[in-house]
Amino acid sequence: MKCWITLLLTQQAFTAIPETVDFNNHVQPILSEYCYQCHGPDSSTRAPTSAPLRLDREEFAFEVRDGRPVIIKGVPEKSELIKRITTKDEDDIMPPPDGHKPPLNPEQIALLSKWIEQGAPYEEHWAFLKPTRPVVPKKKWGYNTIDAFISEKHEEFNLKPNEPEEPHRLIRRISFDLTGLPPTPEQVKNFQEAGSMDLGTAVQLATSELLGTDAYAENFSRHWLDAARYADTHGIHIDNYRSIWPYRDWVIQSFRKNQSFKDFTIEQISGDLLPNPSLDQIVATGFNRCLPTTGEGGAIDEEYLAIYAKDQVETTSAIWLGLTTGCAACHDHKFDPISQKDFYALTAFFRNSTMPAMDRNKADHPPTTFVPLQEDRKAWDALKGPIEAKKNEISARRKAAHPDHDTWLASLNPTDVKSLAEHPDLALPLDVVNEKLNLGTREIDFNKPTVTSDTGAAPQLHDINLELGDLASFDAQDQVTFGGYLRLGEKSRGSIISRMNTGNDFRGWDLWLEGSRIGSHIIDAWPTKAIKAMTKKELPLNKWLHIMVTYDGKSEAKKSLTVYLDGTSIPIDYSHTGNVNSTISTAPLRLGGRHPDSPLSGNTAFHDFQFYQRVLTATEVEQVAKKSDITHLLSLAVEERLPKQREAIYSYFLSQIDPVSKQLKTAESELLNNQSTIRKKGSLTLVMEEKNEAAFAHILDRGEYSLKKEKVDAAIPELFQGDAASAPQSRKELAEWLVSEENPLTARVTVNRIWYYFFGRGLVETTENFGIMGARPTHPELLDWLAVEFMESGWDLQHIIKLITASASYQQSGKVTSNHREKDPTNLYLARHPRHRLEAEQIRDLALSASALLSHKIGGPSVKPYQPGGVWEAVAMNQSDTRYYKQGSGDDLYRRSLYTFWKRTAPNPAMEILNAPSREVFCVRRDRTNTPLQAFVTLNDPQFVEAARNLAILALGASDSFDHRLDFITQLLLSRSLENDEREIVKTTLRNVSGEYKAAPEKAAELIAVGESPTPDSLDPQALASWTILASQILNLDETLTK
Amino acid sequence: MDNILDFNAAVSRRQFFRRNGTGLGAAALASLLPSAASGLSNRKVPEHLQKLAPKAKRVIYLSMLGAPSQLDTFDHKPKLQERFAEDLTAYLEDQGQRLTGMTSGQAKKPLAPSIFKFKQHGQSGAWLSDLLPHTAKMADDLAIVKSMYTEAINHEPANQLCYTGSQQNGKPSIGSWLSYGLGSTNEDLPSFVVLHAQHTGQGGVQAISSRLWGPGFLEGRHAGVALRSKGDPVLYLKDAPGIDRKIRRQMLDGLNALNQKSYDAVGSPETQTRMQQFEMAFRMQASVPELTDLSQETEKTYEMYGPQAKTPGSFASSCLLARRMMERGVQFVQIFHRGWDQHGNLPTHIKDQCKDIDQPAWALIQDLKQRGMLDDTLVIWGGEFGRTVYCQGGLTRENYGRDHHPRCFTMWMAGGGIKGGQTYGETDDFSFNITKNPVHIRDLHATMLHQLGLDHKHLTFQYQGLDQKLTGVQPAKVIKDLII
Repeated sequence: MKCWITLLLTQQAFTAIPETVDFNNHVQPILSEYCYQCHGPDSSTRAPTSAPLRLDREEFAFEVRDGRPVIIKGVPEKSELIKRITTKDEDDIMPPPDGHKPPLNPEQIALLSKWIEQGAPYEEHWAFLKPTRPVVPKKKWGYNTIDAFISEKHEEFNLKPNEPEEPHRLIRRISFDLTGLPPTPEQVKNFQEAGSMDLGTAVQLATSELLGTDAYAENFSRHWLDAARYADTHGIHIDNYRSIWPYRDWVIQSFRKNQSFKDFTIEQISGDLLPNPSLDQIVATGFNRCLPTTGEGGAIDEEYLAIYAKDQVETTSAIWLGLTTGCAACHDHKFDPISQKDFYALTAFFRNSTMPAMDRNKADHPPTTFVPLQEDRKAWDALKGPIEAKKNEISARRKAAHPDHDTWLASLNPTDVKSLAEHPDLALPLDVVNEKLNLGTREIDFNKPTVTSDTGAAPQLHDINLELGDLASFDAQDQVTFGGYLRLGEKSRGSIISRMNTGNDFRGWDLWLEGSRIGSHIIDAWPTKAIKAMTKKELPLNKWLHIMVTYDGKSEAKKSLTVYLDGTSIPIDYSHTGNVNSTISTAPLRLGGRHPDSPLSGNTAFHDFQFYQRVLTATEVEQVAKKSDITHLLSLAVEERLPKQREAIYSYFLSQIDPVSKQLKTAESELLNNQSTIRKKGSLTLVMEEKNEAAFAHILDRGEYSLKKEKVDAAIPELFQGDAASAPQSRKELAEWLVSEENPLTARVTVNRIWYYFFGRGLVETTENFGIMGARPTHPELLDWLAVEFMESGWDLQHIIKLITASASYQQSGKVTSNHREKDPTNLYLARHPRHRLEAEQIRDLALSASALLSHKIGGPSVKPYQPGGVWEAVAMNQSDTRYYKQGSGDDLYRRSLYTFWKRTAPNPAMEILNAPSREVFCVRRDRTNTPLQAFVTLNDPQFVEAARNLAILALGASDSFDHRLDFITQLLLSRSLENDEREIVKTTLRNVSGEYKAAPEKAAELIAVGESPTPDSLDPQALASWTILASQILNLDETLTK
Repeated sequence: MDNILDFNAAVSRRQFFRRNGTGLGAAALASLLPSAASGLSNRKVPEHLQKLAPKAKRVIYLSMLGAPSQLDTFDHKPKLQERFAEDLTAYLEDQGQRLTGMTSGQAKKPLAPSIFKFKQHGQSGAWLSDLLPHTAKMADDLAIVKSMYTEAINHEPANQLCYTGSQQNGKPSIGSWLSYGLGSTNEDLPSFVVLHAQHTGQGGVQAISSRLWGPGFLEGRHAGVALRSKGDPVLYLKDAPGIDRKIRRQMLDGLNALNQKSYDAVGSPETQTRMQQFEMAFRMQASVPELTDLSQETEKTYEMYGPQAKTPGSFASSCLLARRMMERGVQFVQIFHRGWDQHGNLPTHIKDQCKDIDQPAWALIQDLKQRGMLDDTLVIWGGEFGRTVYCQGGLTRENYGRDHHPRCFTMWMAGGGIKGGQTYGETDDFSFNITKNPVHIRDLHATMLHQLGLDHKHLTFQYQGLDQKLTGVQPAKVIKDLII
């Protein structure tokens, strides 16, 4: 369609060069397209290099060069600019022929000439000037101010606006635009009745009613989630699940209560930085955590931190400012006055986050916060006090228990402390007093640096890589326990002790250190046939820790490992849960690194290795941890005990002997259990957290993360910096500036996006780009009027929405007349309502709603409705936790589409085919294509076939008459009854297909079995199959799919 | 009158290359112009778009995801045998090449010569290892480029650069650019089709994302259509159980009649387009199964493609399917074959992988040739980067692994006006740096577009205020030595 506009405009331009040539509307589009590449804002490519010429700003364009400026006001024929664009000389002509720009056409040349003739006046780019409330033209048509502006253009282009839309079509349009769902037949009837008295009032009532529904909040949330690039997976590489749906639910709640766009903005961008932020305000910051991240092995942190900051700046810029600031990542912006420095100053706002670059393929990529279910919030908060109190009591008792402890100790004969019941199958004390290491069957030289622990001497693994022999071997199906005492001097990476053959796909096992997390590999062939789990939390440094790992080869991979810290199991994350068939390794048991080439660094000390050929119970592990310690300690003479050792004995007394402490502990764990029950129902969600330092970034040469140049502080682009003292320096101040009246863009960009939701095209078509290369507004005064209205209403979205639905421009019919076709084929000026296909989610929700399958549940974890097999599997990595699509059941199949699980590398195919974006980058304007693949979805996707069948069941149950049944279906799908000639067509289809199903009843049985919802036995299968085809026919009508 | 039509077509064509928003592909444009004016190839187009005469009409891109080792396949380095296990740590530091996090911490970087035997083949004397005996037989058809390079060192960004021209998200894939630039030549089939071939090697399987065949900022209809080997070849293609062709036709007849009434009443052109799309869908329900039904292929053909040819979803069967699509006017077929990321146990895994692809790739070229289609069908084979000369993990005489290496790797091209029988570019003794004739990924893109009659500088789409190109903003060049 675009082509037609171009043809039209070109032809118009030929006949009519405007009286007064306007810089913003006529001149700048030409200069920016043909000249700014080399004579614009980007200083690095400005030409000629000897004496760069800059045409985008008035202060440079008239500089004297070779005796005179290139533009001589009033004298086009003497201006070098006109000479250069009209010459035939190949060396002189602009744009140069070796670029890929064609020469200017005659009307463009005429425009520039006339502009110079008129004195070559420059203007600031329209969108960078603050909007002011324009004079409202006298209303010639319609109901409200919007119509006054719209009808002015009608007059200008000789357009005749349409009559009001038929009421049933109008209420359907309002319902879809506001709620994304069709109106119920009752709503249609009520609206028609009210409308017959006073259509305007009926529209207002319907608008108010629908704005107060959850469905409205869900529909507008969906728009916002496109912009925020919300998804349920990390997006890059392994593309694992990400826990962030509480953010989605926050967005829904925000729309539900019509939060002002100002607060909506501030909370999402900087909720964490508000004074005493509420849980909701922190959850809101998930906005900046919706970006795709990676955990790819080998990826470089700095590179990705630069990529993330760019994404965050681009997203923020597009949504609030309508600017393509990302273009300035490698060089100054080619068209808009945004320098490379401006861009990196913007990235600084986002680079001050504590988020690690690598998501480690974990759902809870930090920072996160826990969000209880709405109904658990009170109980959750109520638990905090008692838990705190109990902890205080415990610590008070700890201070007060010394007399009881001393009494106990005095009464104790060290031999009373029984040695452990369980004997390890292998115990290597690794004490190195004799510089000989006792391996049971042999001794080896062991002259290594040592440290002294509370429980004896221990080797430093730094620089050790020691073969210990054919010990501690086990196979995939075995059950084992292993561990010992460990002290981490600093973060490090490598194996502490292992039996692993690095030359044979790493077959074997290890006790593995990564940073200060500990865990284990159980490997058949890395990485596909392997199990790996690491502790969630980082372990403390410079402290002796008792670590035990149990491996249960009889349990499923994702439950096979348990890690105990000081006798208590602690949470672990599995990164690999492959199928392990054998772990028998020819490599020896090895201390310090699993290969001579990969030693463990970092002052890690380890001793008292124990290995059991069985899985110890939690109690046993606790006993091992505590008792092996305590027996040793108690065996020491009292005067030999170090302070730390005395402390350890005291702790043992409190936890194992002292009845008061034990009782307090029991009470505490009951409370903690309650807390954990709530925790299991709720979810973690990704949030923002600021580093404790001022925000800064480096300019990156050519956008390369490794080429750091000048350091810049966080700042908004110079263009917008008024008073330097009040310029934003933190994320919070950035947020406040975005929605301040100082900012010329946010209000315009936001009302434009709302306009786009209703009319399918913004007043500025490029909803994401209000810069110099963006589209010009079709109705600049209307845009500014709405922007001012929006700000003055307190940034109230619903205020703008009500103005739109109350306008005649919105309420007019969509009929295309010959006047429209001739004067405004693409409907830029709205002399008819634009007719558009419904969006992906609306189409599916329509089918679910009309067939009464739709679930009305709000929020919660994303769900997995019908999806053809193999869509995820074809693209996912073997170790991805979103490799296999496990379809849900029951309600999960029928939730509104905004709750469908969104895997970024393979979104739900039906939604994707219907132009839902992949959510890999922000999207503020969806494609709207019309393809055969879309026909396949609405014809054959089981979701739609099932909906048609259910609709048929309801129709057959509603009446015995053909006409009533048909009305039942079309009222739900089209909000109307069919005309007589239409009924005849449907009747013919019914006659034909009934004949087919009568001849082949087995086919009827097949068709009505599609979908998981039940089919009542009472219905005649052939009738039901035939009516299913009819319902599907109506469901697939252009009118059904269109609003 | 003719002049005006010419002018309109020319302006439109220019606009279609330059304008933003809902720019029109050639086919859609042709359908909008009066019928006498359609058929753009005969039309007078602006001079700057006229320069190139296409040598190729269609492309098959065999994408080896994960990055095959050039050192074990094409880039023969006999001198390395004597330097087994030599530590390259100092050399690498000297080179300043950034290493992935997987080997940057490895204490030693021992040199790992290939254990595979290399021989010269064909009149051109191209070196190939014994992993690729069939490919070797067609050495004289191939232009083997040993001097490919990229900047990316990890799979995701490297694949994106390879298949969308940019390391960053959101850019259109090669096939989408071609669909946008060339339009479609078959009304019943999509112009850009993607196949996912099964792989045998289990050494390293990389993720793949639909962004590699996505339309980026181009219209959604330019997206690659992934044909599946299990279930419906095109998603939702098959009618629901219990709906046969006759019932579907009856239903669509009624649907059309109802839509026609709606069009008569409201007059929206979108309604007409929708009617056409439902009809095309109906035709595709016949044309796609016909395409994917390989039962009419002869035993001789199956033999040529090898033992896997009858296994749906195999690389062999995918190649055969690709040939059928070429015959039916599909313009760009991309076959993704994963599993080449061999950080460890490379000798075992690469054997499996080469076995998957060697004979089918050879057969594809022979098949195209015997049908007279090789001359105007461009076939490209390769991965997203190369692999290191030093060993990742433990090195033995029989076993080694290799990390990612961006500075040089090997690809080959054949047919479509490519000058076969040559090995282009050279690398140093370590297959580390290119010593002659470097070819960047974007040069490959420029060359491919050139063969299709498109100038990479002119195939643009305005987005975010910039004339976006497949080859991006850095200069790209057509490699003249590679083409006839």
